[in-house]
Amino acid sequence: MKNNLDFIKDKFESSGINAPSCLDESFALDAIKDVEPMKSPEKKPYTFRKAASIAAAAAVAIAVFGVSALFLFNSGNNAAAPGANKTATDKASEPTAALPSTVKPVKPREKSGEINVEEIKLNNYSSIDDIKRKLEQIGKLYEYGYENYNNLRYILNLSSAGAGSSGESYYEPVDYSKTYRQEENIDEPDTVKTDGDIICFIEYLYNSNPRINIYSSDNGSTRYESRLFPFNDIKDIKDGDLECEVCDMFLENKRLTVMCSVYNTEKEIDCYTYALTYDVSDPSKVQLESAYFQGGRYIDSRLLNGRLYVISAFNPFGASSLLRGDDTEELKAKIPSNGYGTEGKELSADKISIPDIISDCNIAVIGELDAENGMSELDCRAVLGYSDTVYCSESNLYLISSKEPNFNSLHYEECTFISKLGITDGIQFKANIKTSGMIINQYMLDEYNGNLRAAVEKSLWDYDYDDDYDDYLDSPKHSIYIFDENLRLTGTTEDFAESESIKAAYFLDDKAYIITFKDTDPIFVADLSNPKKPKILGNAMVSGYSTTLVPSGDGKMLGIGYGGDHNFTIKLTLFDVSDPLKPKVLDTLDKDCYSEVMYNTRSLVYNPQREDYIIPLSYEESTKRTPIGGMMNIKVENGKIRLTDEYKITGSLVKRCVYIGDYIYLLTDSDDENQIVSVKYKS
Amino acid sequence: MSGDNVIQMAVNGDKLAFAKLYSRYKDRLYRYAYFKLGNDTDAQDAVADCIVCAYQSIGILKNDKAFDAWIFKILYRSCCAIIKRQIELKNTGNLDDRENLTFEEPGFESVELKDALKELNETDRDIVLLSAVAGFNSREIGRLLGLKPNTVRSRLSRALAKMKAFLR
Repeated sequence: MKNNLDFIKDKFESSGINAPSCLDESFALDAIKDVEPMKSPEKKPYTFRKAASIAAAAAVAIAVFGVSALFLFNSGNNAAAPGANKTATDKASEPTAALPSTVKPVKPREKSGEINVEEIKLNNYSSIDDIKRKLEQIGKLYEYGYENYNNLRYILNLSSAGAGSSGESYYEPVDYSKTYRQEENIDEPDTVKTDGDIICFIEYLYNSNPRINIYSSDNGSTRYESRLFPFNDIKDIKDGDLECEVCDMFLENKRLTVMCSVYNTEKEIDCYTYALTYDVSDPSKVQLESAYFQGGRYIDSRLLNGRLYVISAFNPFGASSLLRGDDTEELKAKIPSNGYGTEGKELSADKISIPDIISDCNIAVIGELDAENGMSELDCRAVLGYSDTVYCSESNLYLISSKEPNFNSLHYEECTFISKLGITDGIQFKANIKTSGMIINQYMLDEYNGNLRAAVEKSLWDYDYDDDYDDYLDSPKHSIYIFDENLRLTGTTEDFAESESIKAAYFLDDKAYIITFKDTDPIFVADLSNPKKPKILGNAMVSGYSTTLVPSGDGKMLGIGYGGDHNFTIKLTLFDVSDPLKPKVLDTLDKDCYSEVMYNTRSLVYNPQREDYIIPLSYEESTKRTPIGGMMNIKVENGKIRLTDEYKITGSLVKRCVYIGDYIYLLTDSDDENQIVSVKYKS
Repeated sequence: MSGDNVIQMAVNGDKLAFAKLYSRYKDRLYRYAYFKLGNDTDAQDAVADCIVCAYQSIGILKNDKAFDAWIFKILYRSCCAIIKRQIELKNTGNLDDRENLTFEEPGFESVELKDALKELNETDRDIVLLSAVAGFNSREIGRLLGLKPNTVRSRLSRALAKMKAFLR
């Protein structure tokens, strides 16, 4: 007896639906008579997906969401194929004449090397009902399935460069460790925080909700003080069958603010971001002070100048049954809300913008809270379009979303959406663009003298096959783009590091240092002193690749990343970049260890007073039964990487380290009084 | 031209070989486009578009065995382009317009299949056509539609059962 598939196949084959005679072999010959096959570039056996997965592992641990779709309207490939204007029905192929001006035909492949930057206008509406209707109209143009509600079929076109980085990484002398910061005065959230008196860290447990452990420290000794259970605190506030992800924290002025994503599983994809603020002035008796929330899943946050910025991604169709593949229910858009505890209200129409070019059906929500005044709300804005990467300068917040190519298009390139928001006076949308290329993480961006500099990876995808076939990808290339304060492109470097993959970047005044990788780890130095004509100067090679790059004083850069086999070898590389035309490798240090620093830059601990680094380690000889963790303390001296101390613990893994005064504290995975182990600084 | 090397000759730019190769696939290509787009005119446009795109990019095809999947992917995209053009021209953003497949030349069997396909939502329809007409496996379909292979298999199974029950 036939199975269902064979039954249906037979039905199709016997349906009588066959190609009409006008679509015969001679038609095909006629259609291609003036068409020339495109030349295939030199094929490199390189799998982009492998490199992308390495880059993803190396990037800062910010949630990156998977494939979104790029669907370029093809107004007729006939336009790109000279002479191939005949269709079977002999229609005149002038699709652009018949289309609305909003529809942009896809560019032919030959011009794929161009950088396309499109300005995006934001639209506001006078009423919430108007916004809902617009969201619903947009939503219907996408087809969602429950499993891939973050996927898009296509980018929709509805229309028709602060106080720069201070350059050298200057840290004011502190006697306790701060989370690694991309910009000097801007605190970044982390799972581990200390203020010199207490150490707080999020503990993720196997079969129960995460908790936050609070220890006080005193001259090398630590004492357990209390434990926080954010999930329980949220359950006291919010009804429903909830799940809670405890993501990040800030610790400032004896206030611990914990960022959580809270899902109401009864309502499918109904999700909020909570910023729970606790008074930790007495760490043994911690009190919850405020519970701010805003719609959407937590993405990132920043704390600067007494203001907390919370960014979330809100799905306006979160509760729609359309997401379950059931298209009987009409699409209904929801508006994000915000508030405190149980009291919230929808954002008003004037706070929500819908761009002309839409990258995604999620809405980015940006809340601004007064961290010096009980986390009271200062402003809250929203814009349609998902962002998974955030870069913050003193004056501006940049929301970035890079889109990988989707299979549903013959010619497709990656692209990146950038939204620039001013944060000096509330939140104002300053500029929005869509540009070619991918920006893999926040460290690829830097604002300097009002311009935005970006290290960009570009590739043109063609066909992608499953594992049975060969992957094919046009060689990825890299470039540094410079945008002015209105995000207009002022200049780009020439392409460099062809067929490599970008891993790390550091911008220092008018120079940029980029690490790429394929088989070797070249560092490229770029001169960005002329924003109209940035250029690549020199490069140096070494095996393996760095995923974090930090300046190490006096024309030196220290790279931390993977050794040649990039599996379980941490590698440090010291580069001399004093002559930008001829950078060179001064020293390297390899260890058969793994460290969170290799993929999460925020876990790197720098001690500015001692000018050394602390790196948590897991040793290769670890086994499940006998884990071995530890840390190394390294310093750059006289052009060499010096291992000043190394400490091993048998029986525990060390996830993170902090220092307070003369002691380094190792946070282990043990569940007893040895959870924190302290080691006195050797030097 | 022998069957073994006609693909290779086409890949090398031989137009006669390409046209011959196309003629082996033309019924399946047209049938797929016809049931996806719902009418002969659009189906002919999609196939014509596919022929040109496929020949233009044939030099990139590395593996002869991939020709089947490769040409149907191109056809799928051509069909999607036609659908998207229809939506944007109508400027309604209304899925319902796409849901109403109008078959201009109904033979009895195709009317039956048309009605059976109308029982499915658009994604399930895509999955069935890609599987039963284009011959894709669940992994290939998953990659094309952005779904996990398991999801494709379960949706395909349900859709086929639904269609079979309707057709019996």
